[in-house]
Amino acid sequence: MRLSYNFAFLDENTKREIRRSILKAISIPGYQVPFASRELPIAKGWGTGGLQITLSIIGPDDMLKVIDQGCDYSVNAVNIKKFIKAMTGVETTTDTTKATVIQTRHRIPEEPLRQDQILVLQVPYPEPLRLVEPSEEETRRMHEEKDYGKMYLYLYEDILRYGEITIGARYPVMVNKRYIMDPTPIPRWDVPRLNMADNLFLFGAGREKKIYAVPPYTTVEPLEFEDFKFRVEDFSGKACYKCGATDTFLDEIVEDGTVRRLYACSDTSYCEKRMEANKHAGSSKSF
Amino acid sequence: MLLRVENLSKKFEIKVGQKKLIESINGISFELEKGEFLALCGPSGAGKSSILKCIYRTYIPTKGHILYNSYEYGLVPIQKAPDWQMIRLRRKEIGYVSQFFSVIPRVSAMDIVAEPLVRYFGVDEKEARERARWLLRRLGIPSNLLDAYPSTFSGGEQQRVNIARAIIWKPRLLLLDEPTASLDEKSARIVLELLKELKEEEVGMIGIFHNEAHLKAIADKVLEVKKYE
Amino acid sequence: MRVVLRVSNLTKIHGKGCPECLSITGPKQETNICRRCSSVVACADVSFELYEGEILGILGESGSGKSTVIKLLNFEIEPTFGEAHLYDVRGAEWVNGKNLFSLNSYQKRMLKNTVIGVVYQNPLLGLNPNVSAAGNVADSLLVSGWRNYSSIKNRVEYLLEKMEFPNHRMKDLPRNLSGGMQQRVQIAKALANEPSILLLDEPTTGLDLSVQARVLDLIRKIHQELNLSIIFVSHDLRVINLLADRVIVMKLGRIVEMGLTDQILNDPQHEYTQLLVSSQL
Repeated sequence: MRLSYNFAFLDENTKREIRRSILKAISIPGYQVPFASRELPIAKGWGTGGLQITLSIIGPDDMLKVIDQGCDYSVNAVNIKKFIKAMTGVETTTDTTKATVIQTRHRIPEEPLRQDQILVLQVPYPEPLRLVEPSEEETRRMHEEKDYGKMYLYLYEDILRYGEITIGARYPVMVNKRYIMDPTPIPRWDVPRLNMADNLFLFGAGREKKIYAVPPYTTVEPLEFEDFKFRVEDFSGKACYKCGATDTFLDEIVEDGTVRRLYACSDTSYCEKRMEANKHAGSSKSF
Repeated sequence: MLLRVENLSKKFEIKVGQKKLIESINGISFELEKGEFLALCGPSGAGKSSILKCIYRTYIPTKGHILYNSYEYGLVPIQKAPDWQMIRLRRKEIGYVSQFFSVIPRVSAMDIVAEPLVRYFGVDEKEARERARWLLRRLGIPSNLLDAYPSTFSGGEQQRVNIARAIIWKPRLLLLDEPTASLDEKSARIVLELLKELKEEEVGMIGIFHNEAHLKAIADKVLEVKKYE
Repeated sequence: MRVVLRVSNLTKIHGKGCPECLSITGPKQETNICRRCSSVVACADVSFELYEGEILGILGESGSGKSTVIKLLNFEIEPTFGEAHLYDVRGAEWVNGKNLFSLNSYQKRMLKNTVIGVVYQNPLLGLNPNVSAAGNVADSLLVSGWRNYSSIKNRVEYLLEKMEFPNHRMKDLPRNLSGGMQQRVQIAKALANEPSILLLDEPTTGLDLSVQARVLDLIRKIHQELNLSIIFVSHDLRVINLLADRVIVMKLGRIVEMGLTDQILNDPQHEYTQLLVSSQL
């Protein structure tokens, strides 16, 4: 159903400019590159940044996957996927291992990505220092001068008051030992995946008009103290009630009608794969 | 030659309010050798204290030369010596016992006396305090006052702390402005004894005494200071 | 006695400035505002040396430029012209021979944190109001790269204890502390990285007298124990007399007199100094 739209909706000049910004972002890992964010049929704040990146890099032979908090079937993920498919005609999939471009909101897929895959993350707030400094001019200066004392001070105060670092999502990381970056509201669980990965990560903030990137094999280190180290969420004693996994990020579900708490894999496609495998193996509790 | 003063004059130029010129001393000359005690005498207001203050550089001389033979720097023209050099000389070579006790609040008598040894002569704190204790006791300060703040002491006790603080580190040149003024006879005798000991150790001294007997007991020579004409 | 800091011709003009600014302002002209271009000559031609281990006083009233000098030396503001040099200061050997004002912001920040400490009259200028007392002291350590929480905590507690700051109030925000306590935190913070030079801008003004006394005692104590070279700014002659060996007297942005403290107090040469001395003592 292609009306008179250009391939991937955006005009070629826009795509070229966004690609330029992406290249710049890749050459300065963790640095927020400003870009002129375009109008889309989706409102700002609903993934337009990630969408513009995807639209700029996708080609007719690519295989697209779109997830929202790990799930392929959420309304937003489905809408974005439908839009991109309509504008490009590319094939889509829910299988992480088959996709070449994956657009995601707030989660990184469980299955590790390869060199030929690109993960595009939707960014609500690109500035990690906003937590400690309200002025944009000042945060830009802090990045420029690598003056990150205030950020470490925040962590210090956390430990002083609560005995531990209490930041959950949007955990600040040091990229390539130079810039502090906001990895988006992915859970702590996913943060280690950014470090020295085989694949490219691209981050787009449409409303805030910033693009940043983590190239493959780049160090991404969560901020921590020598004696108060970064920790991921603890799921010991819990397992996915559908596939039995004990090594994935789990969502907590309260069953309707009862007060029973259940846990399920946040990465739905991975969970489905495991359930398929279990069926063939004959048991749903084999792990 | 330890100190030579040539034609020393001091005038105060008041530039505020009723502008005027106050003449203090004029044409003072003398020489001092190591181990000598020069007494300044003359009527009140003649400018004896001013001479001491010019040598110590509390006053800037208007005219004349003050040549001091420094251990560290050789011959120093005090009237135009740079500030940092004066600070150094005051810490290590030139001592001053003033008429009034400058109150350093909240420091005990023993610590006040020990301080110069610790700060400028590298003496271990414990040892410095021991020496201070010994000296103060010798000067007749009761033991219970050693750890007290001198602001509560009598005039005579304060004066003795003053003296102790200046002589504990054995200066090369010692200036004394009425050191026995507030002391009873017994204490005065002890002070004069100590000064005599310093003389034997080649300390050059210039002092002002109101009490003639005290003056006679210690001075080798006397300079009459007349009121400025 | 060796020089650790030399300041030459330090000048700060607020406003666009003009060729006449310097010649038509100053103590003789009784103003620091240039009547041609309305610029304010906050300080001009300020030159002096700071010797190792001394306390140098800067005495002046409001508008004298004394606080401007501190702000310039602490890199809060940039000079219009003038230079400053450090000589063989521990931890700053890399800066020997360089004009401090020509350093880039990163280098200035390093100096500010590790070699030069500052204590302001208003504690909230020197403290971060959103961070606890302990956090404020830790800040200096974090900026210079300390990354072990326990080590930081120990050093913070040690410093605050030396400042006689009560341990159980370490987590309090500055606004919940009394003036005297805020100053103790500021001093602890300034000393965190063992600076060699300390700039004190009226640190006790506004405090209750008994508190003033304790803070001054503290300053004297740390001066002796750490052999700091200190610049102490005040309008109060008694405090200067108590602490400083030498004094610089400033009026309307210029130095009018400089000398030994007792000489300035007993035999002031300049008209303004005479006025100051006679009105205070």
